[in-house]
Amino acid sequence: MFHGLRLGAALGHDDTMAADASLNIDANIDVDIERVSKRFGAVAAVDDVTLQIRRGEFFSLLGPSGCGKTTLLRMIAGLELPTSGMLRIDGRAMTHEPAHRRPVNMVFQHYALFPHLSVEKNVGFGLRYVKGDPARFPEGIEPARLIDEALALVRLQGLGKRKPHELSGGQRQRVALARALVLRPRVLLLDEPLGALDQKLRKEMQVELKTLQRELGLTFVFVTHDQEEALTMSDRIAVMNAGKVEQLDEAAKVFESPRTAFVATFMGAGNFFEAKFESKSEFKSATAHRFIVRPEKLTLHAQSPAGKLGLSVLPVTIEQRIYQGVSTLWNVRGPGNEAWTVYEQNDRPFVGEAALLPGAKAWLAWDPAHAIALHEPTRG
Amino acid sequence: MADLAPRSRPFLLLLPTWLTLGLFFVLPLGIVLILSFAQRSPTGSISPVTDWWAYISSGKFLSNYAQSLDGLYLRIFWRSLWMAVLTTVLCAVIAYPAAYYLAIAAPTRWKGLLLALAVIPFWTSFLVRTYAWMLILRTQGLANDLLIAAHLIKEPLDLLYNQTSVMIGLVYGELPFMLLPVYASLEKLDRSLLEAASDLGAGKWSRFWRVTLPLTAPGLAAGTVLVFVPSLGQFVVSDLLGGSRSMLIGNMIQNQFTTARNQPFGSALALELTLLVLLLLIAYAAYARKRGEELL
Repeated sequence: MFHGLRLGAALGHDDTMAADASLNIDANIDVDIERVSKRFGAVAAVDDVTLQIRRGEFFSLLGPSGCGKTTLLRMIAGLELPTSGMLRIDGRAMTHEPAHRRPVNMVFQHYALFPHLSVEKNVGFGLRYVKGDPARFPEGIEPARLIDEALALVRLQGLGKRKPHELSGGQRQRVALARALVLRPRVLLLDEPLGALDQKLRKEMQVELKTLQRELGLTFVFVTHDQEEALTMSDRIAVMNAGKVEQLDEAAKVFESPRTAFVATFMGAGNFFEAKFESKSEFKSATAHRFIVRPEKLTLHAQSPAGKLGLSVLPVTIEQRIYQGVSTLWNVRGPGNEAWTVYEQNDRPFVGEAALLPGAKAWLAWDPAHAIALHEPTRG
Repeated sequence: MADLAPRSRPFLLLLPTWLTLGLFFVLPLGIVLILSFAQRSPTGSISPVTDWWAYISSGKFLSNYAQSLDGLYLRIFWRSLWMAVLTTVLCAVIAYPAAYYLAIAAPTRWKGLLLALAVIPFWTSFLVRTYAWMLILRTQGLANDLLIAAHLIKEPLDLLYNQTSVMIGLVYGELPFMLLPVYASLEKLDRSLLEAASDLGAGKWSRFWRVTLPLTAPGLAAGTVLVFVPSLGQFVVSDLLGGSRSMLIGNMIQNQFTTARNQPFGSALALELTLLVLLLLIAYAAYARKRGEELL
């Protein structure tokens, strides 16, 4: 009897330890997506995706339209329920929780402001439910003060009485942001929020959003199809294609070392070629591999630079030269008639520039360190 | 026509409308207005006025309006008013869920068919459809037969010729006029707004009261006008389905022009009704302007 009791107590103790351990693991993970799929009929919009979004990071879902990035975001929001898989937010299982009970808020693509309500009523809409993070709302705080603070945060003071249709696109975007931020969500979801803005405003908002995110220390999940936008703002980027995550890495890594041809192409124009490793490296075999060199890592030379040590050199024929002010774009053909793109900053006079005219022979050179081997088999 | 100044062309386009409205609306209304100040002659026509000054200064020209304030007529006015209000409320309560189902919940492939079903009654004359209700509600009618067959009642009920049967007829007749504008406004409703409400923490009912209902209020307002105005002037339904105690203002006006042969009094009643409707429309226009929406 006594023995049994002690055993039980010991087991109980062990249980607590286990719970504590799992809590510690989850503490830095805000969104935990485990083998999540979403099927619409026969089509898998999101196909067996597993990823974790860390607390306080700016995380981007990047990909072309139809790649499943928005569906994935909507599943985090609860506006779409996964066909299979598990979803945890802030350590709690939320796979089938309805949207209005999740500690996340979303900035919609077309803002989805309530047209019949003033700006301050839009911003205050969710305050009576406080679904974000109740712990962060001190007792007895005035809703009016929270609304004012949120409007000040997005620099819209004094516009509280206006109706959404009286605002510019940029201002509406800020209202949508304030409406979500005022609830102090665990995670803020943004569905291509800058898509409807013009180029200049877009750039401004990118910086502003990034600053806001850093100051608030809030987790942002940002959906975009614009790789430049994703690079500008994100800590980490998940590049999606056909419902799957092709690569999940720090922003610079996705750009500098794409793992697949898709990621390489999507992150900006690249030049592909196939080559063999001379010595066995991490790729293990000496079979042909696909490589990519970015256009800005290439240089064109009128004379063969073979004398310079360690450069990869390729004889080419110049096809087109496009002067773009700060830079020059060259289209050239390699020995196998394959097309290459070279992108050179006009920061120095070209060596033997007169010789580099369309039709001329030239040499393409690059540092082998800039040739990135792709982690996928060569394709025909 | 070719060398007509471009400026006069819009006027030409409006000419048929002005002619029609003038001939069939403004002119009759003017006649009714003049008639309402006249007096019935013992034979049922208009008695001529000999001394205009005495007629006007004695206030005799207003005697029809004075007569309309009699308790008997006020009671009928009052009954017409509350029955029109009740018709409107019942139509809204029945039509809104139906329109909601049609616009939001119904499977897309059924939508066309269901909408057609809502409109099909218009293919038959309103009079015929009202007669059909007589066949359903009368003592030996379909409703009583079914209730007896189901052993719910032993003796047939008096379903016809009372206020309930008039109410049934009114609601039945006006229902599509509420359904269609409400359906249109629900169909227009931006679904992402409901998602936004959900995302901000609003549950089902909260979403309905704070987003769906306010945004479809213009449809409800349009439906209210379309139902309330004809119900207020209705006389066919109450004539066919109603009894003596369910007489409406419409029947009373009709009576003055036919059996009572008192056109001046009928005109005064008709103008009072028109005025009431006009006030309602002005209120609606003010509401619509405030919301910045198109009228109807």
